[in-house]
This record gives sequence, C-alpha cells and structure tokens, in this order.
Amino acid sequence: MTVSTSDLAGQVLAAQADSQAADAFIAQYMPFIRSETIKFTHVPPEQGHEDELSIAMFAFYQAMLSYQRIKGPFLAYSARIIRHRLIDEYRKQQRHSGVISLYQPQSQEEEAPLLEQIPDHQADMGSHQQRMASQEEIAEFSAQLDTFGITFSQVADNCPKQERTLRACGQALAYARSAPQLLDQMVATRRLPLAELAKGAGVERKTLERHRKYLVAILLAFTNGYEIIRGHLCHIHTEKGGNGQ
Amino acid sequence: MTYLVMEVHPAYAVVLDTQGRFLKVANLHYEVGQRVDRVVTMPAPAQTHIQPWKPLVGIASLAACLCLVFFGYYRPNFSPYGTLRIQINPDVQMTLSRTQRVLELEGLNQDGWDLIEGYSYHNKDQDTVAQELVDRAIEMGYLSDGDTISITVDSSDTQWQDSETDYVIQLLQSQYGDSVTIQRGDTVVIPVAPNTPAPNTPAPTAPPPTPAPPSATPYLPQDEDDDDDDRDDTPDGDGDDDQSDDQNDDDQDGAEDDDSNDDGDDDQDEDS
Repeated sequence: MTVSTSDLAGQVLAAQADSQAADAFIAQYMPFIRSETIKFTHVPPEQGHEDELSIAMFAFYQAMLSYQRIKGPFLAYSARIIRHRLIDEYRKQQRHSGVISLYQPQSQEEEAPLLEQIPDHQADMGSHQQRMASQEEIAEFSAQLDTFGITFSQVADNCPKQERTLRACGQALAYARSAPQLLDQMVATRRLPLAELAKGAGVERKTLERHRKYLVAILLAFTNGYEIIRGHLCHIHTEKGGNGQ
Repeated sequence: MTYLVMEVHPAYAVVLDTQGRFLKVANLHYEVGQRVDRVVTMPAPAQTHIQPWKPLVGIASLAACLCLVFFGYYRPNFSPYGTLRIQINPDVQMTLSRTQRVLELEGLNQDGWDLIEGYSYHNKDQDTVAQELVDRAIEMGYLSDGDTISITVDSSDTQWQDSETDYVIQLLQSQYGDSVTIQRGDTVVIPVAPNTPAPNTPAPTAPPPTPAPPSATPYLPQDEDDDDDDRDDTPDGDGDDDQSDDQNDDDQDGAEDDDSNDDGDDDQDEDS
C-alpha cells in the first residue's frame, strides 16, 4: 500500500458519506480483506469459505462506517473487527453443530447429497420468473426513489431501529393508506406531507422528520404498482393509532 | 422471517423484511429480487458517549495516588518531624521522621563527630541508632559507669515530643540503667545561655545537683558557642574526665585561648 496513513483515514472518512466511494474503497482493499479471512480460515475462501469472505467484507464495511481517527490506524482497526466478526459467526454456526448438513452424502455408498432426497415443491421455472418479476419491480421502485434523490442504502441508514419508532412510522403509513390523496400528492409534488401525516396519525412530527427518507420509500411502495413489494410487506405494522381517525 | 433483496453492493446488500424495515446485511452472493430466510445483520453500533471528563479521570487518579504516596508514605517516613539529641560527652543529634526513622545524624561537637564517624544510620530507626551509639560510646571510652546520658527531643508536636522522650529514656534505662544515669536533657537546657553572663558564679549552679547535672551544664553552653571552643576540648583528652575537673581545665584553656565565652566566664569568676 503506497497510501500514507493520514490519506487512508481521509479516504475512509470520505467513503463513510458516499456509498459509491465506499464500494470503490472496498474493491481496492479486497486483497487485504481476503488475507484477513485466510488468517482465520487457513484456507483460501474459494475452498468452501465464500460466506466467510462475504462476512469479512461486510465487517470491513462496518469498520469503515464506524471508523474515527481516534480509533487508531484504520487497517489495524478493521482487521480487528473482521476477526471478531468471523469469530462471532463461527460461534453461531457452532450452535448448530449437532445438525446434519443437507449437502453431506446420504450414506457411504451413495455419493448424492441428502438434499436430493427432499422433494422440491417450488417449480424452478416459476421461481425464476417470479424473481425476474421482482427484479423488474425493484428496479422500477429504485428508479422512482431516485427521482426523490434517495437510494436504498440511504433508506436502510434512515430506517428506524427502535420498535416504537417503527410503529410510529407504521401509523403514519396506515393513515396515508386511508387517505390516498396524500400519496398522490407526494408523488406529484415530490414532497412528503409531513404536517398532514403527523396530524392525521397522531405521531410526533419530529419523529417522522427524522425518518423522512424511510417514510418516502415505504409510502412510495404503497402507491400504485409494486404488488410484489407490497405483498412482501405482509406483516407491516399498519394498525391505526393516535387520534387521527 | 423472509427478506427481499432490494439492492446489492460488493460488501453488503439492502434487504426489506416483512415488517417494513430496510436493513443492510452481509451480501452472501445475493441477487436483487431474491428472497432469503436468514441474513447476517450489522450489529448495532455500541453507544460511544464522548465523555469530556474522561481524560481528567486519569489525571485525578494520578494526583490521588501521588497524594496517597506523599501523605501516607513519604511524609511520615522521609520528612523531618523532630530531633533527638543524645549528650554523653559526645553530643549527637538525629533528625527523625514521624515514624522514628533516622533521616540525618550529626555531631554537635568534635567528640560527637568522632563517635558517628564511619557509622551508617541508613534505614535504621531511632531505637537501633540510639542503642548502637551508646554501645559505640562505651566501646570508644566516652561512657563509663556512673556517667550520665541526657536525652533531648525537640519537635513542634509537643505530644510527640513528650512521648518520644519518655520512650527513649525508658528504652535506654532498660538497657543501660544499672550502670549509667539517663535523664531528660531539656530541663537543663533552658537556663543555660542567658543566665551565664550574670555575676553569680557557675559554681553555685553546678555543685547542688548530683555529679550528673554538672556534666550537662558545662556542655550545653559549649554547643551554643563557636565550634572553635569544642575543638579545643579534644586535645585535653577524654571527655569524661573533663566533667569532673572542669574548672582546672577551663583555666588552662583560658590561658591558651581568649576567645571562648566559657573560658571568659571562668576567668571573670576567678577575678571576682
């Protein structure tokens, strides 16, 4: 690595704000992540340890997001996080150590894995088509979100973490669904009708403001189209709350 | 729970769970539109409250440790608290810490310096040093049966001063009490310096007590005089003899040296 430590820290801090820069940064440091993974697995990831590599990449990304200059050199910090994350996952796997893998051979005579004995209820063709349909719908959804200047990454970052906040957002969504003109208004004006939502759902306006991007995404999913996404959100908390109704 | 993969990046994927949460999870070779049952989520970042007083804690604890060391160990053991003066004929003074460690040992006359020459008081307490000095005085011939040892303790803490005096006197009494007399020196010290120039002779002050007090009286003024005077005593011979035939010696001294107060007094006395 020819990058000096201060440059590296600057690069990390820049990547925290920009998801594209983050992707580029991770691509640049793939050899490092790979070597850290091998230190843990002792075999190359290609030999059945692809998941470990993925988890290590995820841990690297997480280290990148949580990095601050006060935490010392970035590479040492990220190496530590990767190692701990891999250990965590390994321990989680160990809990299932009594369980037989579907991929192990049926018996000593037969080489075919156990998986083949299980009847496949899902028609391969059907699931493939369904996936293609989902992809199209998600691409459309993503393009629509883009017109609001929002990406999925930002939505994920903006998503409520607390159950209570999630429920508050669910109430706002429920109110919006009961008043479809609000959804139309949002699509038309590209603005979230926060005041109406807060008043109607009986939720603190501040709470909704904090999760503006998330609300846009979730409300957008309940405008016309997006049947698959809406179908997926079967357990969403949509009970009516507050004094809105 | 089922997750719908919405977006994939090299290091992570954004998935939508059935409760409407968008989550960033590890991208285990997912594709957009795929439904997965198990994901590796990002652990909630540990709450890192920045505590502005945190660095101060270190400094404060360091200061507390230093205080503890200073007041609990250094001061009682290494800072002078009082002095213990032993007068045989050699006159020595030890500086003591509160815990009776000997911090410094000095002679107050030439015999005193001779007595402590080559003697190491390091890491010894007052008991040991006092006993060893008395032993040395006996060995070197300064102290013989029937002589007197005066003990003077001086400190700003009068309670400590009294208890130390009693303690040392008791200690020496138990060791050497049958052969020598141990007495408090401070009772004798007070009348010495201012009263001597008065017209009344030292003879009346000296004779009334037992042979022991005169031994104390002549020596105390000597210490407050110049050192020259003390040095003059050495050629005279052993200090013990001086105590008995003091007057005669002083006469001789007076003939030799004119500058000492003692001798001057004695001369006046004789004149009168």
